[in-house]
Amino acid sequence: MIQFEKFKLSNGLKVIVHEDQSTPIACVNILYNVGARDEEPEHTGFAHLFEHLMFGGSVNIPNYDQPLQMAGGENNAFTNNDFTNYYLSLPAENLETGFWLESDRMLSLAFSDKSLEVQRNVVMEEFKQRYLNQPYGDVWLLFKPLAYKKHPYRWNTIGMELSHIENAQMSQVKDFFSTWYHPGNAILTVAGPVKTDEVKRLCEKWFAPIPGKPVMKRNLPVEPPQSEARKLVVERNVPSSALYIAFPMCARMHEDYHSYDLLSDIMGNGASSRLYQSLVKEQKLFIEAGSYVSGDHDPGLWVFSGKLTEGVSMEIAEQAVWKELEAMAQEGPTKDELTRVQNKVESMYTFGNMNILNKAMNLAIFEWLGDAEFVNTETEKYRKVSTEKIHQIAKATFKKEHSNTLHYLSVTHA
Amino acid sequence: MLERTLQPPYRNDFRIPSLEHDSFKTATGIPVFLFKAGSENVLKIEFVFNAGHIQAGNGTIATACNMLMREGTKNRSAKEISEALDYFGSYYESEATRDRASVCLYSLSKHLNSTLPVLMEVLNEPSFPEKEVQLYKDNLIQKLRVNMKKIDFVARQKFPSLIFGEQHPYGIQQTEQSIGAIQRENLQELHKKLYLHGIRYVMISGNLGKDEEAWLKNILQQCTMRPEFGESLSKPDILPPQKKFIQSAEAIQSALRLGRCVPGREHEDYPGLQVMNTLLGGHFGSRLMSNIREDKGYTYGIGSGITPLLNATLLSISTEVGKEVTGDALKEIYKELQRLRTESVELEELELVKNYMLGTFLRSMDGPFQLAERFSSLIDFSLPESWYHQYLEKVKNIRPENVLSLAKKYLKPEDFTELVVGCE
Repeated sequence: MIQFEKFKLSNGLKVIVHEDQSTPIACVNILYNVGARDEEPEHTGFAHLFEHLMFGGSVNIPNYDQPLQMAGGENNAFTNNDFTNYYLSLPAENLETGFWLESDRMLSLAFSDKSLEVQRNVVMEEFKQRYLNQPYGDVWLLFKPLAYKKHPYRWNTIGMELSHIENAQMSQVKDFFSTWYHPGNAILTVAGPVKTDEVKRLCEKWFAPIPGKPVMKRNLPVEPPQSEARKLVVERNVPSSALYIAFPMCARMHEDYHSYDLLSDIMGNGASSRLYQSLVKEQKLFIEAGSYVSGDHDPGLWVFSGKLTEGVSMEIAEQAVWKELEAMAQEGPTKDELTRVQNKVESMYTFGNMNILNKAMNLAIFEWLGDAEFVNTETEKYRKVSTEKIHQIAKATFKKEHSNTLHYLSVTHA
Repeated sequence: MLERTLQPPYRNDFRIPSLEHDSFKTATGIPVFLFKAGSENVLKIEFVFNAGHIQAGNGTIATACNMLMREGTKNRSAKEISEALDYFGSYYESEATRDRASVCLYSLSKHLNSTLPVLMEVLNEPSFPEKEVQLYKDNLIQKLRVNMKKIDFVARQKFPSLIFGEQHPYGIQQTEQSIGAIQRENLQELHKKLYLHGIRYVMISGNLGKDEEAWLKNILQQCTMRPEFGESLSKPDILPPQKKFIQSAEAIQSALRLGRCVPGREHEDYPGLQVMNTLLGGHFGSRLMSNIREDKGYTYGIGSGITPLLNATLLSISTEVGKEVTGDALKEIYKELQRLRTESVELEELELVKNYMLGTFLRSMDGPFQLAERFSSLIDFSLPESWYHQYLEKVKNIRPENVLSLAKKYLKPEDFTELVVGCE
């Protein structure tokens, strides 16, 4: 059970405080409700590039990192399809430095040309390092546009192509900031050996003076239902062929979400899962095989992925995967399988609470999903899932006409 | 009017949490340490063995033995072991590093009586079934082929051999041949020698009730594994510095590694070396990051680190840069080494680095699991409990002239081994 208090400043900033006296470290987490799904198709990769620019100095503080490190702190950030999250941790004695830094970059950035130029290059190197110069690195660059036709999830957080980043202009940066980076579009979490009253005082001092703005209403294209199987075949210079199959699934806050998630755990999470036992250990068709859900805010994907054993044909491998999917669709899971993955979820959440930064982040993410209190009720939602429900979902989901398949074929040449 | 241009007051005299714990010895003499704390009823139990690369002879066989223990015992198949542990939501984690091996169980305290017996069976009676050994070898060879396509993997794998030589366990590289040579009999032999007779200690951290604690102690008391000291370990002969290029077709980036051996944790230069390293490349705002990422945009990331091993300590710099700027990036790296050797560091930058190090140390003590880890690394290096306090005091007292003289001593370019993996 995570205790917390929640309040809202007059400019619209939501604040959550979690007191934990057992750690010497305080965390400040700010989630901005903007992600890659909010980008224009002609300017993808922008939310993530912008995340980099948030470290290029703010209106009153030329350098973000130095003063934080002077106070013994450390920070990082990540961008996904739905939101951008910034976090820092520092010795609790120096908490106010965190407020000073985060409030100033919410107020306004320095918008330096040099910073934009350098971060464009850094992000392009990131693109190369993680997506282009990496075996299987381009899988999601290929797979997302196959599985999504209309919704902005069809591009990756890093962007559709290098040129979108290369061409980013300062005027776009300023517009982006003014649209999305303001108190009403953010959630602040403070966790650690802090006092709620002190956090309130610091919020009033540093964040309350930032002017509020109207919150942008989203109007995203809706992904139409899929009615026929889609398939993409590519050849790459990699040692093992890989197979990906994805099926559309519900949104994160849909009541079926937990069933989909457990279905992926039973099928393909860990050494005792069906796909691993059958495809890797017994039939030896794959060297790795697993399944997971994308977990995005809007309707997402249920994904199988695996790397084939050398010498195994794609056709045989694919048939074997479908056999497992169909078996689940026909018979559903056993009671033991369900209990096992429910127990795993319980311990995953419990272990997650051993780390103060995790708690701060989870509180912010659940508040973004609707209510920070979900952090305490999530395990219960997984407990309520029945074998019948998972059976029903498997039956409705694992259909050829709902499948998106990527054959990533190994062609080795010296 | 709110003053936004000035940083609020901050301090660096943080209270460092204590490493207070319980300990006892089992009937066979295994030291057991208990860090009881935390709000959640979870437990981590780690068994640590003299079964790393250096004790086993090489990393391939050490890791194979460590990984394959859970793939079958006298009474249970691999599947039954996984199911038994997964059913109660526990996590099994094991690894063999250069100097030690460990097998670790994370469990909700309430399920400990179901999960720990399975772990004890894995530790005491692994059967290394032939078909599991074969499958492990086949899959590992294929994964190695995938990894050899990654320039950073090739660099990470090759670099130690340029420092420690191809023959010493610290430098021996994993190859398809070395994987192919793994035999069930060797694994059984290693297990007997390094696990059953080579346990070092058991580290327990988390929260458990009185009854659970008594039960746990009882199980450990019955443990028949023995802590015996093996033969003393061979010190590597450090090779003379060299420059090496490895061609990687189609690479659009180059992986760079530069490094040398430096004195270890027992040496008086060590705290200062850590300060110097943090300044150079040990944090986000370091000299290397500021220059090569933030100023030039050559890379997504660059860093340096000090890796203390039992028989050597390595200072190394690593990065991946765009292939067309490989030469420029190397030039800038050497320029930063030169700057540290010739210019005295400003007091403000030095203070920043020291405060950051103190904060990082504090961050590594968040909760019982981490406290136990900090304590483990003292035991692993046979250092006294007072070591951290002395170390932190020494860090606080490092002055610009200390950094300058350490840099002059340890950052000469001719002492560095340099490796580039990329496409020319």
